[in-house]
Amino acid sequence: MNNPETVIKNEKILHIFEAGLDSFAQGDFVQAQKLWKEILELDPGNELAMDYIHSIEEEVSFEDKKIVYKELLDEAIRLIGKNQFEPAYELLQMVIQNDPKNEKAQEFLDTTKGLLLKDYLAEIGDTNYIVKLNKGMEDIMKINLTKESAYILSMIDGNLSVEELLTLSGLDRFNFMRNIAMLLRNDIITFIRPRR
Amino acid sequence: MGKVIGIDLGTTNSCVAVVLNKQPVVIPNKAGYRITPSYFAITKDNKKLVGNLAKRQAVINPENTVFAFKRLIGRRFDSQEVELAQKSVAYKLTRGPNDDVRINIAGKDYSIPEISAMILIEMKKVAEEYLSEEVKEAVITVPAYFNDNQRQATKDAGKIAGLDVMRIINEPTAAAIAYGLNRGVDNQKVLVYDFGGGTFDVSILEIHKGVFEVISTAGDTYLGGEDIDNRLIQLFLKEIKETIGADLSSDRMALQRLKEAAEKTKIELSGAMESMVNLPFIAYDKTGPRHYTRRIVRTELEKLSEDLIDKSIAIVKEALKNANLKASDINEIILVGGQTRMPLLVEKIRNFFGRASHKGVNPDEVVAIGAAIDAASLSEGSNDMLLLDVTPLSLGIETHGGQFTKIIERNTTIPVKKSHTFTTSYDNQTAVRIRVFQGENQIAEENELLGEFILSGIRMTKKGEPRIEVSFDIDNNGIVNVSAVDLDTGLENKIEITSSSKLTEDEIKAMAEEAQLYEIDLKDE
Repeated sequence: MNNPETVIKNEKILHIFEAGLDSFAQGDFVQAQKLWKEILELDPGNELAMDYIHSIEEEVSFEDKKIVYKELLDEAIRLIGKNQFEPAYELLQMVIQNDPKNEKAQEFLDTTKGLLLKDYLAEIGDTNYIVKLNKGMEDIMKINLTKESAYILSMIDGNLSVEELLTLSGLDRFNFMRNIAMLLRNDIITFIRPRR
Repeated sequence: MGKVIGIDLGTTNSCVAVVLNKQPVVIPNKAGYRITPSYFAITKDNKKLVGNLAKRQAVINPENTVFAFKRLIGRRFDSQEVELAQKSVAYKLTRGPNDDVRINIAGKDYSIPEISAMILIEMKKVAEEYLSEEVKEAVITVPAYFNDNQRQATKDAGKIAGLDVMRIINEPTAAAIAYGLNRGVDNQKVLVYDFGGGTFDVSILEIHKGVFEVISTAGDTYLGGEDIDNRLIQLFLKEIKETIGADLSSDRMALQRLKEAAEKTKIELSGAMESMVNLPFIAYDKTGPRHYTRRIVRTELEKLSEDLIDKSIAIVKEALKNANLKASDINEIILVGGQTRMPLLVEKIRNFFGRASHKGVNPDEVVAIGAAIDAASLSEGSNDMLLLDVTPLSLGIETHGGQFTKIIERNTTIPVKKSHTFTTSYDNQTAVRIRVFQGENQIAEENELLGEFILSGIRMTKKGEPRIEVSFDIDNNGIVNVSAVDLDTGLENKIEITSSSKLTEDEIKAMAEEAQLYEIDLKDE
């Protein structure tokens, strides 16, 4: 049976989402973005809300964008304060992509990446461990992987450690560990102790 | 003396072997692989990689990943070979202080012997871990057509790697040693067909009472198994574009995966009639990730690569012509190189010669095994085996009008010493510059310059009167020494031979010291 609080929260999210869609349809992108932001407050990392916030990029005028991305930055900072680093990172990425000279956003992004990397490394543990696939290809293909994750998976041959895969990937340490952590969380990979 | 190892330092892959309890043994590395890709790379975080790891990130880090550098060893920067190589590789070639060719990796210029030494260090390390003892000596193989500069540069690579190179032997000779000693072959003409990853070489040997004589060679330094991989990659790229609508020709991550899939498919199709190519998440578009899967049958691969195999057969014909032989004169055919596992290739050779090739030797390892056997006989001081090689190219000097005068014809058995008497071109000429070339072109400059020296102190007289005897002396290792003496005065003048691309002893020492630092890096990994 569903937890009553969850049900209410989900219904509330649904209402807010629909209101956001209405605003979007009427061309009031600032209002739409505001409403979808509210969803993130209730449900940090809500993928649907994030997707729709992304979609605003294609619709919003330059001036409106400035407002939108300022609010996104504010939201990211608020999320950092609540130790919600993953959604904060996503929002900060969006801000930087559209405003690369935004020093404040860059500073917060660097800090967030540092904190996230620490979390990922704690989750991953010993990077000398050998990486093995934990799922068959048929199951993996049902998952929505990033290009980087797919590449990392293609390199796994059961002989390479986390560090060696990092070398092969050509990715920076943060992006690599982020993808590895995701693969680990989704049980796509597992680690085994290296042979002596 | 400790164990002497045999190393096949290949263009694409290298292999190390040693004789233990009178049996040659190929030494696997820690991961269990018996061959090591001849790749060296420096990553963006300054890590040095050798072998499999270097190869597997080659496409995503092409500017700082070096391979097929064997084509460049011992060459001058302004040679045709270097110009050709620059067109086919992403890494940057630069001119060295001795006009030799260097490779710029991560902002630093490396000599070719230095990079070759990285592979040799890896082979040395593999052997030492297996044998649990230090390894100090080795026999290293080179292609039969390697000239003096190339052989000396290979020896220099050994020195930099901390190895005393006891002998440089020709690859087909090594293959024949592995074959000959194993099978008790005598009085036979053997053709060695070496289809490697990046190069193709044919050598014809005569084996008689334990003596191995190389009687002719031919080849193509840009024909190998990787050309077949590239055909498959192009096929996959074309189909992905047609079916998924993605152009992956500039996508490095995708290309690395395609390259590995192509090689894997090619290898599988040597044993099976069909193979599945499975590349999930190979491209991304608005709809999300896209996958590429396709079944490929052996006949399709054969169709893609048949012209390359036919090209190799044409080169076989050339080698036979050089030796004044017909296909029917060949008693045995030895296959070298992993690509020779391809059934179509085996069939074409059988059809051409009217007989099957010998199957008793592992084509990936046969050269290293032969080198190990030779290494063992050298360390024991055994006389069981006498190697006779030939110089693959004619040797001579530049004479009046820029002509090339041959003193030693190609395919002359070595060791050899031959002399020829020359004279001055002008009245009162007191010195002559003797430029030593190797090649077949009648114009001296069109051949490879090995070195030059000046003989001075000639008596002042009319042109044509002085008698200057120039002697060529090629030793067992194929190293050339040239001397000159003024016969009229009876004086032995001092001769200085200046090689145009040799590393100095100081340079070798410095490189060896730096290579030791690299070795420490490896241990830390």
